[in-house]
Amino acid sequence: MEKKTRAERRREKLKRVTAVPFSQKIKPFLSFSHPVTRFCLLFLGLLVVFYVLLTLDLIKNYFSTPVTSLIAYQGAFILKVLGLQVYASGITISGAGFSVKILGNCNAILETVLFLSAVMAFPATIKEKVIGGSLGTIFIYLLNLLRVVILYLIGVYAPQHFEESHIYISQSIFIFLVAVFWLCWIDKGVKEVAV
Amino acid sequence: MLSNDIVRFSCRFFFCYLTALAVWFFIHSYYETFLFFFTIEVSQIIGPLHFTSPEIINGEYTYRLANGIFRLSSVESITFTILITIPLLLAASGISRVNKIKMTVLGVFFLFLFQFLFMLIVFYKEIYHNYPVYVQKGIRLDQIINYTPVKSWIFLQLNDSFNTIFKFVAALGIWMGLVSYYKRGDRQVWIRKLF
Repeated sequence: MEKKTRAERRREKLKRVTAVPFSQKIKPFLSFSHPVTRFCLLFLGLLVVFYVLLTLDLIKNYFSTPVTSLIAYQGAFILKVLGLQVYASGITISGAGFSVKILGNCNAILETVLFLSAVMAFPATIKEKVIGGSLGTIFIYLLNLLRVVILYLIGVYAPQHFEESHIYISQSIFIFLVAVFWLCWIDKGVKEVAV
Repeated sequence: MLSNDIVRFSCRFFFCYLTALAVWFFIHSYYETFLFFFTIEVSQIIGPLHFTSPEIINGEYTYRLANGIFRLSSVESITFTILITIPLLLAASGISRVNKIKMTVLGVFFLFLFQFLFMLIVFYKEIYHNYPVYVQKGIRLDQIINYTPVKSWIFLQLNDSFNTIFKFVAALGIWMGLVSYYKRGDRQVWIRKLF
């Protein structure tokens, strides 16, 4: 068999790549019937709907703020069990020479919304979605509680590292674990993966 | 039991993440400064508001518009998305080293574009949202801005949505998009290509 030179192989590869025009390559993805396109559009649509709902005062007053207060109280309880003299007031945890206010980004509601949108948009049965969504919400809530406790401990014992830990590390690891949970749900919780 | 693929993927991610984190602590201030100066310079070309005189005073990013000096509140909250995307890209399996480097360069480029857009929104939101206060203070914004409360609200919503949820969508979306593209010849279902 004749051995081709590197240049010939590259020419052939280029020919193969350019044989089909780019517009033809992406054509299947432009249709809503393509599962990946449908997933992406549904995901973004659901995300926008959830986000708009979360900006409503009614939701803020009767859902977001109570959930954040609950996280603050539970976080303070865990910290007390760990031996710190702390107390929670509204959305603030104070004591042990440090005080922290749990704001919009740290109550994990947005990460939960992100996860739920991804679960709802993914092609699976209703039962699979309900199980995945419920378990995921519990997982994210507990993970966030752990994050609040760890960040508070960092604030007490190593306050010079609090900002970096809060902004760079906790958010990136948190969102990665949410993404991994979603992949695990697809891997174990969805019987027929079509996408 | 979790799928071996996901466990391996998570291990690779954490290895890449720790490496990226160590590098990021040394270079993030340079990257953020470059992003800030780049955005100010480009705003002078694209308008309609032409921000000028980017400076770092006592560690704070400041810029000018009309006769006012403004401070940038936070840039880390958006640039940290690099710490999610790059380790995710590097952790993907079945992609050659050369392609991983290409993917990483492209990923950083797309994230940079997203962060540039976000920073522009932050500048506009700062001006429009605090417009009445600044005008009262004697800053002549009324001569260069056609202020309406609707514009102020739009920039506030854009700023909040980018700062809370769309930064995660961008970080994860770039990862999914690039890995799917570089593994397009792979015959398995789309979602399994990701890890």
